[in-house]
Amino acid sequence: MNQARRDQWLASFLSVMVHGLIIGAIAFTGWHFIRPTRAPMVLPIEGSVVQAAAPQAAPQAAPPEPAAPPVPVVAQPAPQPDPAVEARRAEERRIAEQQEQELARAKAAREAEAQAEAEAQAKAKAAQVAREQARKDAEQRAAELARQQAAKDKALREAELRDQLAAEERLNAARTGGQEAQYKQLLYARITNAWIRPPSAKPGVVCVVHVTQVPGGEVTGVTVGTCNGDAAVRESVEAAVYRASPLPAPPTPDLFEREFTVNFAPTD
Amino acid sequence: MQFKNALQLFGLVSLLGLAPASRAELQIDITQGVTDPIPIAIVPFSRAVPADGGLDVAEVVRHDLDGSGRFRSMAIASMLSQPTRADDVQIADWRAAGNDYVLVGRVTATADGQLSVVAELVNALTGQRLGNTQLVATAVNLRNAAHQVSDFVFQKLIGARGAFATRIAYVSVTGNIGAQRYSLIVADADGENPKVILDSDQPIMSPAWSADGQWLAYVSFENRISSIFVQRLRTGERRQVSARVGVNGAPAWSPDGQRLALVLSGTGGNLDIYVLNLATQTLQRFTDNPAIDTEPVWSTDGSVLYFTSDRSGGPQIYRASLAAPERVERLTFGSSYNARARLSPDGKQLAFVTRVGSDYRIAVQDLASGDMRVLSHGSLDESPSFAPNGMSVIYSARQGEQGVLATVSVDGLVTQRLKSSQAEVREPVWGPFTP
Repeated sequence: MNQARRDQWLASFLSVMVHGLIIGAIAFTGWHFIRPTRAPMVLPIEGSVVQAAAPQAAPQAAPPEPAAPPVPVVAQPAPQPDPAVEARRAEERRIAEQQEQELARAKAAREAEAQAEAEAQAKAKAAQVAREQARKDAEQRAAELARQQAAKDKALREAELRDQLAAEERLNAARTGGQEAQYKQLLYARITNAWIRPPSAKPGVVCVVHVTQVPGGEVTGVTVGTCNGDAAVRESVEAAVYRASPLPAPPTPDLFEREFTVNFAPTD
Repeated sequence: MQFKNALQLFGLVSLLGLAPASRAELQIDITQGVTDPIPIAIVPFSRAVPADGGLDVAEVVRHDLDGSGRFRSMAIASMLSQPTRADDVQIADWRAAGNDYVLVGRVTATADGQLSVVAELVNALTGQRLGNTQLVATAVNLRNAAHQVSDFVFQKLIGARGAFATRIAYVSVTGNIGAQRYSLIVADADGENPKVILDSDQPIMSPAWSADGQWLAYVSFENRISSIFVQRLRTGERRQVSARVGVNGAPAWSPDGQRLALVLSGTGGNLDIYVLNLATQTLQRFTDNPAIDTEPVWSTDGSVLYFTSDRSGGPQIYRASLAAPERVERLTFGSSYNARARLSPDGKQLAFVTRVGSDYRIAVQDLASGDMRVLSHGSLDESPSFAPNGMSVIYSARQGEQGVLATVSVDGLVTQRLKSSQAEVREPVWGPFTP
């Protein structure tokens, strides 16, 4: 499709060029010698004129420049020397040379001066660069030290956090992994077996007992809190916890609870 | 780096999230206990010899408490010291020896010739003093004072009124067949201190306590026929209240002490239950059925009688109200033989004899739920009777060819044989609390 369009456009362009060349040839060879005929005007352009009117086809109106005729190159013969002229010319040459030398000398001096100047500048610049570099290096070193320190601190903090996290995770795992349940079960079994349940401890009796223990499991305090049982029930639950002493150790030390609560709620 | 940050963040979050949880108090829920005996040291009391008549009060208490099955007393030989005052109790020693409690006390003769009994109970786990009891006794009733010390400890630690200071009545049979002697005996609840109330060469049966514990009703064949007597214990005064034609049996006191339920056969020979007003001697028929109706028991409010009847074939327990005795309700179904019921003091349970295979055993049935459980394990256990605190049942059992007395706790866990004499003992009945 694209190709077809380009071909079409090319065809139009060529036809326009041919048309232009013909017009140019007529104009160049003398308009009055050729009677205009209609024939050239009916070139088969196929309505592509509209397309040819596109900007690319604009040169249609301007006929191409005819090629310029070649200019012949002719070698000139060398002129013959004249002595007076020669001397004047030598003198002129000598002066010119002298001037040239002076100029060269001045130029050399200038150049030397410039070079010295440049060298001094370069030196200063180098020193400046060196200082700058040193400063930069120092800064970089300080920054590096600071960065290292920060990294160290950060690593430390992270390690601490990781430790705490690990402890928490351990505790959590202990809990969710059944170790807390296991600890509870141990305490439950010990206290249940130590509770000599009086007949008055009937279903419906609920006694909350606060227990304080020390590592090793020795019971150091028992407080009977809310309790709807009679004096014998209160006596029995208090005695149960003391009787259970020393309490069993938790499966992991993390789970040790210095204080905990025992709810005596017989179900019969 | 991002991972580390994430780790930090997670750590922080987990710290924030879990720290409160780690402080949440551990809670243990105890729903069961044990019925192990409570370890207690009953230290010998200081004695008032010879005023105490040789009775070792602490020994009686020890026997009571051990016998209840709810206590385990420390051997005296293991005691490092024998304090008689709470002030002198070194709890660490007693606790180290495995005791939860220590009972100390002293019996002293008073100026007026009586005996003072003081007992103090100490918690060996905490050092707390749980109280003391002070009693005045004579040499004659010092044993009863000792039982009251047992009741004091029982009340403190078991939470129920002890029945140690109550009494039992039973029939003792001695001698060979053809020359037997029958005795109605009242003894301390531990079987000690027996007193003969009635002695006869003819059978004595079915003793029954009045609600106030002052009287016993019983059946005596002393006149060659069955007669029902009531007898005042303190004075021995007695009177015959029923000697009708045929069988006169199974007397039971109404809670108000005004009436006796009893069983009469009349001339027809069929047993039915009647209610006799003791003051007016008027007789009210309660059952009128061709089957045997016997062994009446009063409800606690006196409006209902429980009894045994074979109207459905074998003996079963029924009940009917005095107001509408024709509306009879059968209560037992679990066995082909359920008989001789007695009601618990709170009116909520029946104890009776039930046949299990070829054995007769003591069962307790909850009236509200109908749940029955067999408590005893003998082959011929008879005549159950509740302790006045409802915690145990006394009954007669066979030991070889002999009848002996036993108690079983209503939870079935503690069985105790009462001290056995040479005599055969039958029909134990536990007396009420006496003020």
